[in-house]
Formats: sequence, C-alpha cells, structure tokens
Amino acid sequence: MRVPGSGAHTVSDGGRDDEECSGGRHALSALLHEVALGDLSAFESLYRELSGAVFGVARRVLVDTAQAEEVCQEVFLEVWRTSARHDPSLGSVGAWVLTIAHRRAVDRVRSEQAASDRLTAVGRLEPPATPHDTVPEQVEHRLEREKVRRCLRKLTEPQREAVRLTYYTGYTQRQVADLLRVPLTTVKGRLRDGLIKLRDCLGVTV
Amino acid sequence: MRRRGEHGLTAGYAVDALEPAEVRAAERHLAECEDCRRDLAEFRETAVRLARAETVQPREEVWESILAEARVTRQKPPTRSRPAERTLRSRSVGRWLPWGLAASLALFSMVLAGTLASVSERLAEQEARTSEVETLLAAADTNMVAASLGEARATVFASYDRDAAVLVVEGLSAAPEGMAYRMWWVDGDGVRPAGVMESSGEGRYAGVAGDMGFPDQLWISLEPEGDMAEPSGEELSIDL
Ligand SMILES: [Zn+2]
Repeated sequence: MRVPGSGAHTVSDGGRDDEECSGGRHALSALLHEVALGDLSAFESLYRELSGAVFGVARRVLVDTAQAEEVCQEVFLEVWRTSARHDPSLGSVGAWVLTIAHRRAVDRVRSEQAASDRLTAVGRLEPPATPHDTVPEQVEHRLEREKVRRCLRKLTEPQREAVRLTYYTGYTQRQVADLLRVPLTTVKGRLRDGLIKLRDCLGVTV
Repeated sequence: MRRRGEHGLTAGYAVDALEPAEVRAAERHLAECEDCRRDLAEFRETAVRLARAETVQPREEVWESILAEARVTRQKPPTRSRPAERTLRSRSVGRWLPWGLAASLALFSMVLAGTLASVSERLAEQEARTSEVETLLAAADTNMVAASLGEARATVFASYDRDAAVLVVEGLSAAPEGMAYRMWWVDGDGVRPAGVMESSGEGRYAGVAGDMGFPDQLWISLEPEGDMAEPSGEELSIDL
C-alpha cells in the first residue's frame, strides 16, 4: 500500500548559515518547506532555531530534564514526519512546533498526575519551583525573558496565577478552578484576559 | 447547545488547558468561528514568546538521536486539509443518526442487546474493559451509521469524545480456523489497525475500535491471526 521512503536525500553537511535569522517567520517557513522535501540540513537549521524553546518549555512544564529531552525528540520527529502537512493559514511554524511541544509536555504531566492522583487524593497541589535559575543563559534569551517577565508583572495577580497554573504547570482550567475554589468561568476569564494583556504587551501580531 | 461557552474555550485551548471533551467542543467551534481562529493564532504566538523566554539548549546528544531516527523515518505526504481544525466532520454529519433515535428502532435494540452484552463479556474476560462499551454507548456524542456490505449488514456506533467506536456486523461468513476479521481505520494518513472482531454467534461479529481520530472509512478484512500493519485480504469498506 504505502512504500516506505528510501531516504535518498542529499545531506549537505555544514554550510549552515547561523546568522540567517532569529526566528524570522519567513525564514522558518522556507526551512520547513525544505524539510518537507526531505532536506536533513534544513531540518538541522530548524532544530537549531527552535530546540532551545522546545526543550526549555518542556523542562519548565515537566521539571524533569530526561523527560524534557524525550519530549524534544518526539517533537522534532513529529515535525520531520508531518512537515508537509503544516498549514500556514493556521499559524507560524514556530507556533506550530511549540504547540506540539507544549501539548506533549502537558500530556505527560497529566498522565503522571492521573497515576499519582489515584494514590493520593490530594495530588500535587503546588506547582514546581522553576528550575531555570540554575542554568547559564545567553544574552538574547535573557532579554526575551526579561521582556516576558515585565509583561507578566503587568497582569493582575489572579491573571498571572491562571497563566502560571495552566501554561507553565499544565493544569486544566477546571483543575485550577478546583484548586483555587473559584468558579470555572472565573478561571476562563482570568486566563483569557491574561493572555490578551500578554499579547498586547509583547506586541504579538499574526 | 453551548455556543456562548464555546467562544470562551479558545484561550484554554491555546494553552492546552482543556479537558478532553472540551477540546472536541473547542475544535468543533473553531472550525466554524473565524474570530476564535484569529484569537487562537494570536494566543499561540503569545505562547511562542513565553516558550522562547524559557530557552535552554538541550545536550547535543538529543540532536544526534533525532537525526539518526529521522534518517530512517518516512515523511508523510501532504494532506488535503487538517482534519483537526478545518473540515472536522461536517462532511459526515448528515449521514449519521443520533444514537438515541437509532436505539428506538426495536430491531436494532434487540440485535444489539445480545451482541453488546457478549462483546462486553469478552472484553471483561480479556481486559476488564466492560465499562468501555457502556461508556461509549452512553457518551453524549455517540452516533450510529449503518451500511450494507454485500450480504452482511454493519452498524457502527462512534463517539469522537471517547475516540472509539463499536462495530457490529451481521451475516459475515464464519472466519476459517486460524483466521480472524480485523478492523482498520482509514484517514488522511492512510490505513491503520483498529483491532480484531470477535464472533458473538449466529453469524454476528463485533469489536471495539479505539484510537479513532477523524476517519474517512472503517474497513474489515479477513486476516491470518497475529498482528499486521496493513490489510492483506480483500477489504469491506464502511464510509463514515
Ligand atoms: Zn468563537
């Protein structure tokens, strides 16, 4: 029925232009197009561009480095397999890849949670301490992080908490509502308002 | 049903903070609501910035293992559209009967009562999954589709929420010794195994097919026992 591909791609080693972009949308989408044609060096460029964010967000959610590495591998292999199916009308390449990454990290948290919740009715209520202070970081990433922090500070405390418990910790809105003992609609409103404020503060455009 | 509420699922969807049933509702809504699709795109770009702020380089071994794996991994061909967020199942809606309505047909009720009890029992013996069938049939979004397959008649009960279907076929010739009827999902990604059907007597075969996704068809084929990646026998096809 389907003939397995016979990796007949030419791999040109090296020659990667390291300063070609810093996440430029068009550059990434051009790279992805080449990845879809089986170009492993384009795949490596895409990896260099996005792996830090993929691994970083997976580690932030999962806390565990080994699991974050596994997620990173899964994500990029999924990108490799399905690169021809990315639909640009649904968002940028970066958003696509990081959506896969976040979802996979969260899925792992939830399946672990489901397992441990059966043992202890309480479960893990406190989100894990953020581990990133222990790692040296590059200047550009520090700047981006500072900017995000500044914007997070502009949220109200309940909005910030809603973003933290969902995006960074992997709880569902419903779990957050249970945890904070507030109605679900309240949590939905806080999360939505928080994301809108972050979007505006970070100057996100589509 | 919950129109108003569904606009409100977009933020949660963007940061993966929905329960499984809410995810389905959000995706259904996104397929129809342009405003929410725009919100989603913006929220996701916002999340990209949050993720980039977490940037930490993984060990080089991570790339090496990805590269080694990619070299031996087939890439999927382009697909017409992304089922999860685009076409969804508008295509099939018209063909599906609500299960409640179908259930009122006495004939089906009688046939199914016996068959499903028997499927439940078998599953209970094997994997203690009795409740799976019951949950599936009770799921709010469970739909039924009936089709004839030559001499045989097939009935599928499917729930997107549960991501599974129960298939009942009557009038199949008995599977020869060492052979079994197998089910296959067919979607934009190709054909994949959906499980084995069990005989429940009187020329009736039934099976529970999980991992449904958004299939175009369900196939049945007679196969030698043992796991197979693709059908080798001639397949009977049910359009979904
Ligand atoms: Zn909407």
